[in-house]
Amino acid sequence: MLVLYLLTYLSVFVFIILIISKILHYARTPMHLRWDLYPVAHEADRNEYGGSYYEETEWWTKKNKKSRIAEFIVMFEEIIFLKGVYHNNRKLWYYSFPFHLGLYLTTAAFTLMILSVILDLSAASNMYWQQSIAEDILFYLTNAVGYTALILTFFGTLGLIIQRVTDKKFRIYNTPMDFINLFFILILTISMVLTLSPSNTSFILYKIYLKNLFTFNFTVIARPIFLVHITLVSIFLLYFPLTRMMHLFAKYFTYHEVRWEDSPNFKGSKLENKIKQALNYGVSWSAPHIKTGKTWGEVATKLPPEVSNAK
Amino acid sequence: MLNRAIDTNLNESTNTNKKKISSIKDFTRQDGQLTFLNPENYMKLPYPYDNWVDPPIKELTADQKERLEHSLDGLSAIAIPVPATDAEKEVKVARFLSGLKKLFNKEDNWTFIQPLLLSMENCMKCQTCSDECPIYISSGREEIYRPIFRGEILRRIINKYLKPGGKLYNKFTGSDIELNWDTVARLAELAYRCTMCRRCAQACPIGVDNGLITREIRKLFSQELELAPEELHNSGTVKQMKTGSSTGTNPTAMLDIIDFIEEDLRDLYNINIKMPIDKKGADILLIHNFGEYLSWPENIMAFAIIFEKAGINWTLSSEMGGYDSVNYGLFYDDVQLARVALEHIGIAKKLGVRKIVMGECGHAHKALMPIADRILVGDNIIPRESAFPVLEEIVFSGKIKFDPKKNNFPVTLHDPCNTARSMGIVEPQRKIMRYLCPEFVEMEPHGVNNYCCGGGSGFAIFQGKNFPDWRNSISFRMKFKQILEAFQENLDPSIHKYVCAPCSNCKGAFRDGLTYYNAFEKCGIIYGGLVELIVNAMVDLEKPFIEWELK
Repeated sequence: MLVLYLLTYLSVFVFIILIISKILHYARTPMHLRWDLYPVAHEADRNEYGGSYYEETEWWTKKNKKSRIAEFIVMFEEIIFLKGVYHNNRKLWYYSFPFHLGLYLTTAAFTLMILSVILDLSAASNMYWQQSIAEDILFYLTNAVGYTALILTFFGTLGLIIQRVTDKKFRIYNTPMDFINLFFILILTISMVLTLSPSNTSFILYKIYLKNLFTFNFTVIARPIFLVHITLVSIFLLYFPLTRMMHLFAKYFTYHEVRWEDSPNFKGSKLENKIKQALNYGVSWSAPHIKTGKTWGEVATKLPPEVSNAK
Repeated sequence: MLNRAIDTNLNESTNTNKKKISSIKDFTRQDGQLTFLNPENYMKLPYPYDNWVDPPIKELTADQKERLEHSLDGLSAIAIPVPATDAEKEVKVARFLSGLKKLFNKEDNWTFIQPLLLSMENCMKCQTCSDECPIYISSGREEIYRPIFRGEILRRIINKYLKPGGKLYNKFTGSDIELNWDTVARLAELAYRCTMCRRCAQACPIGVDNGLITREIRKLFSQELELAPEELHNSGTVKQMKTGSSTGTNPTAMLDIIDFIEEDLRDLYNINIKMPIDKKGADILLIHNFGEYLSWPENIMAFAIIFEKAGINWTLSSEMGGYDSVNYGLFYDDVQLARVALEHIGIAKKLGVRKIVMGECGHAHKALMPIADRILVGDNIIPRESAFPVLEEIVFSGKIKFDPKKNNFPVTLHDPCNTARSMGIVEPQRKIMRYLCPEFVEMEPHGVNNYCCGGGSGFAIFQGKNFPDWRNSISFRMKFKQILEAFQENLDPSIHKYVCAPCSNCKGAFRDGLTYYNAFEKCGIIYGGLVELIVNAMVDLEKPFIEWELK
């Protein structure tokens, strides 16, 4: 049993480390050339039709209103409701939406369970009534969220698998890994359902296990199916960051750092400094027309002989 | 004759049905041409083209087939020479891999590494992008033209050849493919079957950009293997830096053309304008795509008329680097992009102008305004703005009198991808048209959701071998469908109709495409710029500015 507890600690630790390193992997790349794509959500008065500050004359003399609220709304609709998929690929949305919502609710259910455990551990005896009310709320909320998550994830995943198998357009692109990802989630859901029993209708085993993890109490939980389920969850936490399922985090960058990144460059700005830095990067591309200098700054200003001789 | 040609093509297609792509690995086959296009499968067009059958795409000549790689779909956009020996092929494959590594090197590819990594690592292959791609749809859903196809090939090569993992990992990720010269040559050609319009990126729920992947593949081939289409590189950016224009027009010839244009203004419209040339300290340096001077001089005239009537303090440049806004580096090569942009900036600095205004050219807008913005430092940061808001300001300033009734014909507006989807310039041109064109009708979809003209990313200027056939019948097809649908109520050829395409490259695609479909004779459709419509509506003008012929 101790091994299982240790595996869970390890998987949570590695999960967090790998997610952070993936985020840093994207965040530490150098500033890139602009590659914005419209509509840009923060264009307060223009995002409805996809306009930008370039629609104004002398735009560099005017303050451009950026709406962070508009960005938030677009991201919210996109992340929670998969609005883009709804509009552009409805057939996929019927499965993808419950699948994603199911996963979000699973995360929410875990969070609620952790809150229950924290509440349980931190409760003072003189707060009995308040604690009882909070516990009740968490209890019913966890059940509602947890069961909804299970149903949505199960049917969403099943639908996505069936669609991948039956729809011709996926056929040549499917790889074993695509199916492993989906089947893994399906098995997790099924094993979770199997842990439920008349004595465990409210995820009580999970709460006990979490509490044990928090208190370093490695008591045996005598339900083999639950132990199998926890083993699978732990392996999934190790596996998840190595897959394309990390698009969850990449999406922040594709939207905020690429599609919506429209900051103009002004003299003396931080951006200008970053550009100066980038122009000092080395260039090792080997096509003859490139090899005119060692840095980007040199290569962009020194022309190849056939061009410079002509001038 | 036509029927026989179609039969031949169908036979070829039947032969190759056996070889239909059933796996990504098929891309690495070494048994000749991978895909045979069949006009019967192309997207159907609306009335009066509902029975239209496209002739098959012209085959390359026997000599071309022997000399040039064409094993993707029988076309040759880049004219890749067939390597003479296996050893030569191996060298090229090795160079491809070395270039691929550089794409993921922070210094070599600081310009685009972040968006590239994000797009390469996060595609869920959900196919949401497929239905957004006009080329994929128009071709009759040819698998190789699916937006994710080229990215998926690249992804699997990267998994196998650049990432540690071994056989099992490759099996799991479907990356157990062999990299050979045929694959490399096909991938290079496939990068020139996408106009980089970025509709796919716009639809992607994650933000993966297959248009960017296309550009990065083009860049790899140009910056590492010196492989790029003649029209973009030697006769494009290189010629532009050597002579002053990608058309080969030098400064002396440019001044002669200006003389002709002034003369035409006098003779045709009784307007005396002395074009301001190299005027130091002007408020505006106006830079046109030089294609306008040669193919559509009326666009140059119209700008001059409007600016002069509005009392703008402006100038053109006659110096190398100052009279052609073209920057084909945008389509294939970061270094060439930077060099050309710096030449444009250099001229503006030399003249001491307050700002540069981009004429009606979409890619020139994007190259010098947002993209080049991140290579400029110090005094090179000179303000650049689009002609569209400048024109909007003039039209609504009251400085010029208009009679919209002069534009008494149906007009629709094409949004160039570079100015609309990539820059968000949507409304200024529409405000002008709603005011000056009483019969203005939108295409659907439009604005930032528009379809490409089919000439994007350099395709408009590819005139070699059989590429124009492909462009006219496939990449222009969706735009043509939109035009026909916009004018569906007025398709009688006696009713003249105008497609406003405020972009030189788009106009190039329209010229060839509308000619291919015989659209003027059949439906009375012509195309032109925005300024021509503005001038046509001017009260002062003695005769109509727009001539009803397909130029």
